[in-house]
Amino acid sequence: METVDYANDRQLNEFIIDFSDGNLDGIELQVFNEYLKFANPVRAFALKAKEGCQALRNHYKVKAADDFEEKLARRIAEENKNLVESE
Amino acid sequence: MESISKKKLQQCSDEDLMEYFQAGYEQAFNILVSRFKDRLHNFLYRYTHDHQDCEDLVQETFLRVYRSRHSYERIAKFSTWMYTIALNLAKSLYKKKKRMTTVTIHKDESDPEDRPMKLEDTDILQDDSLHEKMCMDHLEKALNKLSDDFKEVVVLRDVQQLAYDEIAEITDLPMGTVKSRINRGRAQLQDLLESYVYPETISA
Repeated sequence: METVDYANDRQLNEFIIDFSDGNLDGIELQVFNEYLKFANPVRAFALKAKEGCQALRNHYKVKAADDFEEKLARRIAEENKNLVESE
Repeated sequence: MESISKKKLQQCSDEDLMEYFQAGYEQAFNILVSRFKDRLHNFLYRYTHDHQDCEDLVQETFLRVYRSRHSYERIAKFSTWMYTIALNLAKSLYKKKKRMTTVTIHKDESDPEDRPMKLEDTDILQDDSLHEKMCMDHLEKALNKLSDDFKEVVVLRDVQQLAYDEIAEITDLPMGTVKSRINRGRAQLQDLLESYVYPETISA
């Protein structure tokens, strides 16, 4: 897998972050798109970052079990009881 | 601190709730648990890939919040403080699991309780849900392959949707490093996903 390291280019990093987050608009987006037309490796990297970001944001959510709070309350009650007994 | 009704507590910020909890209002802690239990599950599951381990870690995180309530200071956002606890617990579990290199799966004849495990999947998935499940499996697999440095920031940002400054605080990294790792992590994740969908495009 090709790795592209743009870590040293702070401004480019910021642009790619904003591009992936969908926070570039108007003139900024226009300027960035113009730039990408002439910078193929950056374009490939920025598009991959954006797609990776979208894949994760659409990822399914994991939820707590219905009895989660009940179990936690039991553990806390037990801990409090042990604390009182040890005092 | 003046007394407050449960309804009023529910409208409080996380930081205010922590202060009420420090002042002895257990109800404030319960509200924090209900606010964050799903978000923490969602975060920690990307580390454990196991529902039971994940639940144990979430319980442990809340227990530590409960025990250490007096060490919380309002200078930090409550979520930042709690995610730092959760991330440290996840890292410890990961290290512990890494050390367990040998796993015995043979049946112990001397133990009457030790029965072979049944793995059944009686659900026949329809095309759409099968496709969806495959995509999710690919994403989990790809996330699991990302290096820890990339995974932690990418999950905090794109799964938990935390702000960049909060991620920098939780991971104790400069903002520039956080952003650079997120960019590289996202791109690497996409590369991995493409390699699962189009395996023929990957050179040996």
